[in-house]
Amino acid sequence: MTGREAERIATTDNNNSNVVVIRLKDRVPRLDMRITCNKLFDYIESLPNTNIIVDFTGFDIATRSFIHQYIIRKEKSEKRIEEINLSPTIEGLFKIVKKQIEEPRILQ
Amino acid sequence: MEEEHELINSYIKYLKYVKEYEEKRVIDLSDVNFFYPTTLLPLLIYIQDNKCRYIKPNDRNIANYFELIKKGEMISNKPSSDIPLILLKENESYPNPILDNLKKWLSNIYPALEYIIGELVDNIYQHSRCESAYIMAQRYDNRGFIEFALIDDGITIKGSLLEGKKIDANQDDSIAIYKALEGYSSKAERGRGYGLSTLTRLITEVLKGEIFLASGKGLMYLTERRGFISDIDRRLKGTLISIRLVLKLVNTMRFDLVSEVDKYINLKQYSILPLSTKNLSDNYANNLN
Repeated sequence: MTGREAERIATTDNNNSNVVVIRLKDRVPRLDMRITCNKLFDYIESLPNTNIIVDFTGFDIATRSFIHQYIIRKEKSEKRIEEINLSPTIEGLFKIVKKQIEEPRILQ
Repeated sequence: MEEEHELINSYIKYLKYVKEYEEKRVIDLSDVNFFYPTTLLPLLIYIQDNKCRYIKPNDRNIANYFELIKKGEMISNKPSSDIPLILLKENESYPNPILDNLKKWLSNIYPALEYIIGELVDNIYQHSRCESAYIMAQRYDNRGFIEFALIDDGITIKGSLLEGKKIDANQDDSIAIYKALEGYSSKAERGRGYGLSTLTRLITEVLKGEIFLASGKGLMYLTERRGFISDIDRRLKGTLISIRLVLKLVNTMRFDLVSEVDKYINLKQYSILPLSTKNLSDNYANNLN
């Protein structure tokens, strides 16, 4: 979903008050720590909306810890959460961390 | 790097000050002509926590620098190559002055530094259960490297793994460090345990830097080519991590962060085994005991 499509859904679908676009840049300074991610999701969970679009515009990078916490919190949430405008690095990190969750290292 | 093992020597210097204070109840800094963060950070914490008497450095510049860093003040009359002691607060990501200044120096590789510092600070909040944690950094243009150090007064890596039942109480701190590098985490969630291993590889193999870690009695030192993990007789309250990166390499290096995050340190390439102090080189062992 592109940013424009997300904005269109959020602003023109007057009957669907369940959709909200969250501009990440307005909520967190950096995508670095799990605490930061938890604060984001605490906010998401506090919203009455059931469909959440998280706009990653303005962020080139995130830590693995943030991404991991994001995935874990998203899995636990009952809301429908989608991400838009991911930078190539952040998109790549999501793929890597998802893979590491699904296929964890075998430790001796 | 020209002065390899200087991170270890810097930590040993700190331990000598502690030993001096235990014996003489005063720390004599009068003949100090240089401080690296790896010495200065734990020393300042030790002085603060124990309200130590100390003799100031005779060198006025060093004495002023020491007092300013101790107070957490920026040295404003110079281009900022010094990041003072900054208390990490849980309610903030981490202090902007650290990143803002580092950004100015390392614009090309900034994403990597943001990643490294972000992960290190997150580890402190996730695992240490500390009351306080500090970060400081210094850039040495003439010597061509940057050194930054983080310290917390928490439960140590062994303490964290004990909470997660990933280590036995009778195992040494060095074993805990080894396990953390192998991927053991105190947290039960899938996909945990990659942090320290990935970071260490990024710092040593990709950025060709050095990393030193002291946690409890455990020590770790790694570069691209060599390293050791060991225990010593003296215990650090909490965990200290120090990193050195060569400025020239960091400024010019290009790498794909995504692919590097998927790799982790291979400890088998090192001659690393948990060692007792008697197996450390004489140089280190003599200074510590």
